[in-house]
Amino acid sequence: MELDRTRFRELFEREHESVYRFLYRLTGNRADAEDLLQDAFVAVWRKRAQFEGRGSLAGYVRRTAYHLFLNKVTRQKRRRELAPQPGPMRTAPATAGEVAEREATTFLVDQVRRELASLPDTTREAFVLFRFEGLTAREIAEATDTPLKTIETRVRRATLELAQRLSGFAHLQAG
Amino acid sequence: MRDDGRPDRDGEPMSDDATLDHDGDATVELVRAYVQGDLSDLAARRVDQRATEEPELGALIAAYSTAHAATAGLVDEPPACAVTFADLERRIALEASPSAGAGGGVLGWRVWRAAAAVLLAAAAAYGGWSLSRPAEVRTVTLRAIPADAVAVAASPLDDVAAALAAYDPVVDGQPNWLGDYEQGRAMAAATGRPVLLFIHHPTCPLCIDLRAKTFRDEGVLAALDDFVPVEMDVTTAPQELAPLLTAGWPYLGAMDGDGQEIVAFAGAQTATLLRDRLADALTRAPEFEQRGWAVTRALATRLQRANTARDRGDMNTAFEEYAALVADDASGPFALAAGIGLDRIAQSAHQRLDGLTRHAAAAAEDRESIEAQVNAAADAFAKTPYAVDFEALREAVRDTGRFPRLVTSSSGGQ
Repeated sequence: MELDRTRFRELFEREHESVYRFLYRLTGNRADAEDLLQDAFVAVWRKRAQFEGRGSLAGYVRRTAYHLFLNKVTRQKRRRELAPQPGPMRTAPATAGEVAEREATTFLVDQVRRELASLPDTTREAFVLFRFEGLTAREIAEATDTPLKTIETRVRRATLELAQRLSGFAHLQAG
Repeated sequence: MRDDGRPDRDGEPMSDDATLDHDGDATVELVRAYVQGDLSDLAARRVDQRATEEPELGALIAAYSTAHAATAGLVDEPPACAVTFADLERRIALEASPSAGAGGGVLGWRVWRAAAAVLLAAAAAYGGWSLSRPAEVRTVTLRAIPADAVAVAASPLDDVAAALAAYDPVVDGQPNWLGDYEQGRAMAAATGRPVLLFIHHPTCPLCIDLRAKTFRDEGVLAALDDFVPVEMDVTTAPQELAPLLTAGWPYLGAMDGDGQEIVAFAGAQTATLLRDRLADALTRAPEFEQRGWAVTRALATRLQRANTARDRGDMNTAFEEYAALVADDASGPFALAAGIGLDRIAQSAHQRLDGLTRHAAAAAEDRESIEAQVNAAADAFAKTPYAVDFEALREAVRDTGRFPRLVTSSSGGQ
């Protein structure tokens, strides 16, 4: 059945939040995620006659979004870090203790970010989607057009590598 | 925490292991569910059993537990998505192009295509737009400029900064009396000193004698360094000061920055007596925190410089001066005044952005005009925290020729 405007709207209303979150985890920032979100749905609309019904429409949108993301980062440098949240530009004077605690937390978070960024791109992306978005390996595989076993291997590899590098920080994070 | 270090099962189990799809190998979802406590007790015990029999599974569980804990600090809820279906429809409408089937008819599609190309080239030459430039409207997320108008408190120091920058309580061997009681209170608050209030009458013999002798004494003048001396002619003094006169005549008293009387020592007095009374008043002053007048004048000069820069639109200089004052004066009155100054810069950034948005709406196709305005704003705030947003606007206009769509970290846009 061809995607008409009503079904397209339903598809958007149903899936755009999860696709946006998927893109946010990949890109690390809201602006790029929103741009790619629009690009993906526009592309799905333009190619609606070509959708053969293989897999779900939601998976099709996500696959399209992922390919657009790959095209974008091929042109730009691949984003290697999770986006830090910008904080307030002027804060009230803090006590020495508050400053020290803030700096310690920032240091820890930066270390973890750095280790995550040092993973190979596809491995990191699979882990980020798995850990922070709670996607299953099958959902990641469908979205990225990658075999399921490959995704599981990537997540496993990322887990083992991060655990080895971050075992000290995990202890500190736990307090 | 279990004895073996694995996480407890708490709350109701969220899933039954029968629903998990595992093929005998260690599946990552099973490990995640176990570490996050999403398995039933029965399922968790089965995983425990398997982990003792399959070292690889045990190692993966331990590793994911570590990685999960270590990355906990990175878990953040993505900001709300501002894209609506209406946005999508507008975008699709913008990108719609004539279908291949159009342009047929009597003259044939090649002629129509050639004619269209001529018309488009003429339009581009007129509008100054590149034919290859897509009708892109970029989205810029505001990170620093306040989305709403900024409410700025009044700064009591602003009115006295200029006076303080050049003030000395003793000049040419006599008190440098201020004639404005409110100004004196503000200056007292700024310098951490009490006001020495002298209410007199021009023809009063006691008052004349005080001026000629007591207030010329070197010891009294030295003691006046810890006060802000204010004199009031009784005939023109504010009515609120009238009750003070019940203490005696002529009136002399120490007041705090809020106008509250600390102690009164009215009447005729020798220099020795006045020196003692001034020393006594300092011990009663609740917030007396003296800093040298040279330091005060320097701080006041910097505040004045910052205010002047801000008033003439030099936000970069103003921001640097205010930020330095906040750092140097810690929680002092000049730091507070500088903080208000920084709020005013935030207010200016918001107003400037508002102006840019209105201008862009009114002059949507005038790229040069929009670009000039945006560049001027970016230059004006280049050394402030708002540079990040103005630079993003500058880049968007430079790349697309259009003023971008603005969104803030909360939902909604401009």
